[in-house]
Amino acid sequence: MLLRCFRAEMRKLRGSAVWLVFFAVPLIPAGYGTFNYLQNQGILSEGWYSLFTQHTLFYAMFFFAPMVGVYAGYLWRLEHRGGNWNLLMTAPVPRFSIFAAKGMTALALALLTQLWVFALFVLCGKLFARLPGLPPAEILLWLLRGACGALPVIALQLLLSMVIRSFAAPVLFALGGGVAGMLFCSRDMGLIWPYALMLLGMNSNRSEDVLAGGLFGYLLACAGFTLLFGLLAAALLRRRDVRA
Amino acid sequence: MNVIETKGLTKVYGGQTAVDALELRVPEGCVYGFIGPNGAGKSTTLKMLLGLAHPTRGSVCLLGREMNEKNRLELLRQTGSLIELPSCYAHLTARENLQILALLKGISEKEIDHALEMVELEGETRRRVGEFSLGMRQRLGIAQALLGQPKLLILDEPTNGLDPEGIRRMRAMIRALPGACGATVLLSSHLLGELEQIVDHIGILNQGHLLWQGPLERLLEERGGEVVVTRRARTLEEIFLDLVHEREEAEKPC
Repeated sequence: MLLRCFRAEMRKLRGSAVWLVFFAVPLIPAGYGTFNYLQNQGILSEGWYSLFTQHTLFYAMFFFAPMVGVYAGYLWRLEHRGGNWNLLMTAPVPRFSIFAAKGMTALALALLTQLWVFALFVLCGKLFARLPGLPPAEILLWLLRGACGALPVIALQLLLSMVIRSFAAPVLFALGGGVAGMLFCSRDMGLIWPYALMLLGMNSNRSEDVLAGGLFGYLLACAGFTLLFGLLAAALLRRRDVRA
Repeated sequence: MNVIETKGLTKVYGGQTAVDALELRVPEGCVYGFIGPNGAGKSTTLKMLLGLAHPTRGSVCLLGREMNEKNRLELLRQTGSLIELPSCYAHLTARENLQILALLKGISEKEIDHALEMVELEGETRRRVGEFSLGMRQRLGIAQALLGQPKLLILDEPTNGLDPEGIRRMRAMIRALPGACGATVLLSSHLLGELEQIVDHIGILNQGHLLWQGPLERLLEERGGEVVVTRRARTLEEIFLDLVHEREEAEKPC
């Protein structure tokens, strides 16, 4: 049933405006990061790693969490705007499957976003920074780890967008969450703030691996927050009357 | 057999009783008209039948089984509904909207053609639903309800916002449903004159109280009415007002 719900969610994205956000937004931090790298090549001497710090500095702090917020918000906006709550909740599927399928869809979008960010990173590295060879594989791994860190953010943003009918408010919350995430990370408290987990996973603005030796704690925090927000959503879906 | 049976069904919102100890009985194979003015509690009742709103007290039986967490999915699989406004994804076509629902209901996409034909939307292959008129959206809502050949159809004010021609078409479509797919239809409306031309059973609701229910024929017999088309005797609207007045009189302190 969950798979059917997931396929239904993916079908809703056909020809939708969310793809515009998906393609356009990562262009901004990629462009800004590359420009920054080119202007400061005297200090930034570690090749691909240095370019990565500049790309992720802005992307992780200002763009990734709001983008996840936009994905989550859009998935619920489809239901809020079309009066589709009644249709969804009278479909013969478990209530939580609807939430979980939206989570899977947002995760798929987040993963694709990370791959698109990686493609832009390679493109900028080759075309503009003229870096030799290909980037180290671990950079791709960091980006995928960032997507894992996006899981709790997806769960929280889905929960917020499910309850709050406004599209913009949860996205703004995500923007604040991402900026606060940087502060939590700088004080080594990233594991207690869900929005910091994607930054930690992505190794944002770092050329050395911040999670070396601490991967288990990181995965545990991701799973814990995701479970917490998922359970909250399940309880709300079960107990609240549906408002279309 | 009663396809819908409620026992003491009650809904209280913030101290206000929207539905009060409702004992609804909808026989199999009929078109049951659930009538009452705006705010009578019709939509709240329909929502409780479908599990969209939780009853404060009382219980709901659909198709002979109690509506609870254990039976919910099985009962919803056999039920089609259109509650309040028709639902849709405006950026998709009618077919794509039905494909999404077919996935959720776990039924073959082949049924989509049949549902589209029944509501006369089979020609609308390319247009997005966002460009549809309200009447077309209502018909799409009916197609969504029909998908999966449900045994029970619950339609809440399906003619809301339609022009006279749209109402006529919708009326003809609903009247044909029990014969075409063997479903029992529960239909709510505040337009009494319109309902008496479609339904064979009726339930009259006012301020959350069920004032009368049973076959329409019996109501007209008991109350000296006649189906409005003949224009010979009292209309359903007049009978409704009588019933409301009688209840108010009965509730007055001695």
